[in-house]
Amino acid sequence: MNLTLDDLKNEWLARDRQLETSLRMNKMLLHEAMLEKHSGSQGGAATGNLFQILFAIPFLAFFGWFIARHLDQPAFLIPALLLQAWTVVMLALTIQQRGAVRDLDYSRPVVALQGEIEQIKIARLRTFKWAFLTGQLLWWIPFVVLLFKGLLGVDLYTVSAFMPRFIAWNIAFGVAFIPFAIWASKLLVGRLGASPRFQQFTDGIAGNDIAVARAFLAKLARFEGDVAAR
Amino acid sequence: MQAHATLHATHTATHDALRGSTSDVSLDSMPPMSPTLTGEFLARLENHKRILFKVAYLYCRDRDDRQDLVQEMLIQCWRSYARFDERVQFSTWMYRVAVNVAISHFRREGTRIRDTVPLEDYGLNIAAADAMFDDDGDNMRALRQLIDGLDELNRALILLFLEGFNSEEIAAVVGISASNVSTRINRLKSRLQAEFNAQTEGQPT
Repeated sequence: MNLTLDDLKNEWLARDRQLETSLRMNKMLLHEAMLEKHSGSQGGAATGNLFQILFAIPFLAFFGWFIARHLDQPAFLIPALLLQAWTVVMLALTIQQRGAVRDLDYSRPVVALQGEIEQIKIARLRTFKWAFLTGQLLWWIPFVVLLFKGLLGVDLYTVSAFMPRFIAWNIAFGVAFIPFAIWASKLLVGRLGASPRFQQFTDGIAGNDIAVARAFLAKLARFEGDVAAR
Repeated sequence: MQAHATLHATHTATHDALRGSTSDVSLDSMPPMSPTLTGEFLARLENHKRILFKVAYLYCRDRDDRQDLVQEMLIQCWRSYARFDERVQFSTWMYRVAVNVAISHFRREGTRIRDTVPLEDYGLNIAAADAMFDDDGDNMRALRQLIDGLDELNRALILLFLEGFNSEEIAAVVGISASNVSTRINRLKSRLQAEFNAQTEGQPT
């Protein structure tokens, strides 16, 4: 037997008629299912954005108020500015990336759309990685210092002789944790196979997922390149 | 804590990204459609519904996963229909959407979309189609096995070739030049042909 792919193509196409008669579609049910689901909500992405904005408002207001009251005290002003900037940037990035996913047009040519998806994925992975790495630093000592000063009027820098050293060590540890976390994630990737979530987490911190996404982008570029010209 | 909430949101978004961007495909986020447009879409869908199953068949081995994929394609087609350009053939447009969703699904490595419901709830019965695929003859089984060895992009090329599209039409769906399509298809044909012959020669007569 020596069939060509063109013969197989004919056999493949012949199945169409059979498939056409096999498939059953209830238009009424399909119509109802879509409309019923559609009328139930204003949109998942919009709800997610609203929730995040509502959650961020008290923090943004607190940091804004705190900044205004401590303009002449750099020890308080700097952490407040950093926390305010972190919150605004993360909020903006998450909303922007959610919008980008929502606006994807799946009827675009395959190479173009898959490239766009991969770019969004890289941006999201990068955001997560740096949100975690910088968040662990900012939302511990700097935030606690602000909270005590802003809500209780307690200056943690001067509350005891031990405190400045404790704060300095914690900040130093937080800074050192950034390269350590990246290194440790690279070491742990694939070693704790029992937990896919943990694997995703370590992949995200180690930047492995970004490397995979970049490799796919390179593959798309090679695929798009004219092989006949090579 | 704000940090925890933001990190959680970012983490969730990252999981979505890891799962592939179609995870945001949900009926909840569909744009409003007029009854006329919905009726028109359903009529067109009825005439071309087999496309969804054929694309899903080539990208998904697992039956349950295939149902999820067909559902994702269906939802994404409906979402995208508001942007459908009448100058393009509906079938070409539908292949684009279906292949794009299938590749995203394929690259997601086994995780599922949220809000999955049985396809029957959408009025689509694919049991008969599955039974038809199960009854495939040796040639189709062998072909399927060979296609399984291709990556997601070459799989799209061979699918469109089998569907009878010419190089220009395939180029329009995939987004590469027609000459590139021709070269790639010829290479794939030679490769699959050799593998197919090797496979069938090894079979007892």
